[in-house]
Amino acid sequence: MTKEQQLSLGEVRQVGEPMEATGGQGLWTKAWQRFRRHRLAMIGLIILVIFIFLAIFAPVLSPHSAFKLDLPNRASGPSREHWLGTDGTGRDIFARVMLGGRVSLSVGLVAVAISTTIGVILGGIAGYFGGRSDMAIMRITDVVMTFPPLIIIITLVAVVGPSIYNTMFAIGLLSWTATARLVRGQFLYLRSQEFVTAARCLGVRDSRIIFNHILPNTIGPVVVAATFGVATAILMEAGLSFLGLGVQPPTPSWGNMLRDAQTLTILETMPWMWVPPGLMIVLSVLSINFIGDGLRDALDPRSLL
Amino acid sequence: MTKYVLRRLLVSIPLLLGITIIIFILADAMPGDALTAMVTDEAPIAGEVLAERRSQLGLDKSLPVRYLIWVGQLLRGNMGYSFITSVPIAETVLRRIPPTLELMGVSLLISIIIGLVLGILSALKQYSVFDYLLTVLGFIGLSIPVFFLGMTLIYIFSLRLDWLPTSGMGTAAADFSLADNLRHLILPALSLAILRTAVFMRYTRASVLDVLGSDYLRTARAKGIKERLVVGRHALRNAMIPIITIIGLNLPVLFGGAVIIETIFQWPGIGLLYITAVNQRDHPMIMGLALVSSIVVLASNLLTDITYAFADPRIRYE
Repeated sequence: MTKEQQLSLGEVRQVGEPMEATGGQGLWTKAWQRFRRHRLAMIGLIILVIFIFLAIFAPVLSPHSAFKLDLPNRASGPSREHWLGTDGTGRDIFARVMLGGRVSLSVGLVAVAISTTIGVILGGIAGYFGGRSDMAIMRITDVVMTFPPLIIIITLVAVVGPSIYNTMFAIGLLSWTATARLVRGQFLYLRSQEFVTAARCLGVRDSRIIFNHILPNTIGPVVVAATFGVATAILMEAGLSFLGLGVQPPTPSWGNMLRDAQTLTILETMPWMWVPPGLMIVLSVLSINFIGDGLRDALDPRSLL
Repeated sequence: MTKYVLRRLLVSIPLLLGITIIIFILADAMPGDALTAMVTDEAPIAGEVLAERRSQLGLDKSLPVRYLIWVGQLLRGNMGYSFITSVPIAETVLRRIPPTLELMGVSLLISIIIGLVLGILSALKQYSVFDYLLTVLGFIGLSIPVFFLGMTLIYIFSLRLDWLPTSGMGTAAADFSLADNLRHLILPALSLAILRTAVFMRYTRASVLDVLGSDYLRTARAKGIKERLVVGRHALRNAMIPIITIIGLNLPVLFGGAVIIETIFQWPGIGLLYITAVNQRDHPMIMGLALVSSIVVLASNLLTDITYAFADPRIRYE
């Protein structure tokens, strides 16, 4: 036998050498391909990317500042000068809508970051260690879930004062229950799987089991829940700012711009003041919801088999 | 069955206790107390007088003691007096609950009926144009902030078309008439209902789809049972079970929505009362309302669990 043939015959892999998945496609590539097929999700992604772009570059997109008063031109409709018109004190609506996007998106992201972290930690502890810590954490979750969220957030804000950071914290502190339940359920299920039992028999440390085996399998549903969480957080921030308990003027937020339009006169005769921020909320939340739906289909563990 | 109900009731008690503790701690953290509300610049009171009055009222006792005093009073039905109006809170709250219940009840009813029907139809006709349309509409419904919807509805139906009134519960200075009340109820209830309908529609659709793929349905069809009965007698019954949970879980959110809607439409319910109390720093009112709404949510969760146990016998043996 020639050396080449020897090599092909001897192509036994060493024990422990990782095998290549066929075609070199990992988990995420396959998921992305499935995501791409979801039409609505792709539309949502495009819209969201546009919005993020607008939010980041808000200050340079309009010739006007979002804060400068232009009293002679106040409460006037869309024109060459002010693309979406001006509000009651003459501030340019287009600039305020762009800047408001920054506020709403950042509150959404930070609040979800907080709630996901809390949810994963608490749900993980409850699901993995079980027993008394599980019961204790579930009791706490029940208490938090029983509170009407908006009511508690309003009370919290009344205590610490309204500001953008307090809004982020308040929303984050109240939204973790769904994630916690999700993670707990996943941990409970995975913990009873054979590969975990095997790992424990081998003497693998708890922390290693959690981080290397259980957590990677939990990421999918958590990402989906987090995506929908961002949508909910944006709606909550808008609601709080609308009630005057969130972001305070003059910093524009889509919610507090709608608050400024709360008189019947403005409502009827000056739609440019409230329709643009409202539509922006709807479009951004809608696109995030589409993306979440697409992610859910793409990361569905059943179709990964 | 009774054992299950008793167990759930027992579990609710520590829950209620936990809620009262959190509310009390939150309210205590708010700046000011009963006496600061009474002291104004025009009627300055010396510091020692204030301190003496405080110890008379028991305001200088420690947190746990004050908490227990509060709970003791609550059990006697005394929620204290409003800082602003000095009217007993229990009285004000009781007066304002019916409008909110009317609003929430009607919108919940509408959204359950329409949401369930559309969700079921959507699932049965999966992948049809009907289904696709409803899915997109459902998504849009989920994504509209409730205040924007309210404002848009006012704009279209009150200001432009002049069909419906813009605010309030009844025409001012007119005698109460059911027709008038209903006219005022339509827009606020619709604003809440549209959002909830979208949520229920999606969950119903998902649940029915889930059930439709079950093996026992395949067996039923193989046995030759008419499709109508397969769906009506087997599929729908099992699909309804998670729906009950979802409805129950949505009740706290309904409260939040009610707060916003009552503000826009000036609907005299406890939502509007709450916002006014927060803005006026009326601590006893805030505490009383937070407590009442949490109790209502707790009670409805209990009801949901009991209904769930009725519907799904497996739960009773857990």
